[in-house]
Amino acid sequence: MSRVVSDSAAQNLCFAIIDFLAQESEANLESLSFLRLSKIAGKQAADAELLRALAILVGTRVRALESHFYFIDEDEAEYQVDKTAVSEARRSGVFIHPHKGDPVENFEDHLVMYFSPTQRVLDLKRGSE
Amino acid sequence: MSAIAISDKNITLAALQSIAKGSTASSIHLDVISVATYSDFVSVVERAVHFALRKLSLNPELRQEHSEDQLTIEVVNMLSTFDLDAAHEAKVGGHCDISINGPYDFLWLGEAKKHVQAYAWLLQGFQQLDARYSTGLAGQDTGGLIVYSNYPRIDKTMASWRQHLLDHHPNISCEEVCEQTASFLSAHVHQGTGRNLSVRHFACSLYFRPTDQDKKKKDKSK
Repeated sequence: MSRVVSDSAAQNLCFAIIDFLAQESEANLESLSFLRLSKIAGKQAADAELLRALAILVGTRVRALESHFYFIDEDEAEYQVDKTAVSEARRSGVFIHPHKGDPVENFEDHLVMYFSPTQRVLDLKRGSE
Repeated sequence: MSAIAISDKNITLAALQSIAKGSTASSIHLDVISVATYSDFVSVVERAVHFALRKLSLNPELRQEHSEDQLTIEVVNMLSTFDLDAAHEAKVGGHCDISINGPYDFLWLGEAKKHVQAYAWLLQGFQQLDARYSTGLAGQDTGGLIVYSNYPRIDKTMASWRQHLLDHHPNISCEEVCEQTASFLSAHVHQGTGRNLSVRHFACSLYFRPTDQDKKKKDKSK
């Protein structure tokens, strides 16, 4: 990790999350919210430092986490959403409700990001058990 | 530093964008996390390259004698601070000046040239990128050519370079000319794969000739 990032604050956040991934059971790693990752990293708030740590962990050099999205509509119903659909919506400015088929106003207020370990991390965990 | 209190319902994409607002680095970090398509990846890379070149242009007086390699290593170091997987002269069909690896086997390659009056030197860089380094494969069919220039009016340099490219390369198109950055996008058929290869041509002005020093010299000579 020190070869990948020299900033010690970012290193510490990354190490905290990696330690958690190594120690926790697979079942508890399926859906890691910002809330959980913030607490694991010892942060009181989601901030730019946490964004940086997650960019490192998702990025090509480390590849420890993958990001995903789900959509929460006005009725609080939750729907898994493909990242390419989110990418297209951010590009076009239009997001279609996955169930109702209508455009969603201010869709970015209804999209929530979460994370899971990559297959690489899961294979390493299984190999070490 | 902007922060969002911890409550899952708050940490929406909009909330993350507000954290990143005003910071190019944070904005790039958020986009790195969300990359889903090659277009997303290229967008992140190009924003980071533009940012790095603007940083170089901030102190041109320190870089007048810098070689192409020295300038490019500075760019690569800055790209790495965005936590992009960037390298200088990695082996890709040869030693490409800048290579950036992304998820899903995405790849962006860049060549960098210091403009020295004749445009043949820039054309050589473009041809290296096109015929020697680029794979032209899906997810790897966009690259960049960085033009460093110590000469005045880089907008005119880029316009002349664009014309030179059109005159000397068959069936190439140039579009998306950006007045703010003097950059443009070229596209042509890659000979290896038959796919379109897009190349963003970036401008980096290192012009430095302060006129106040000329005035001081004149005053001293009186």
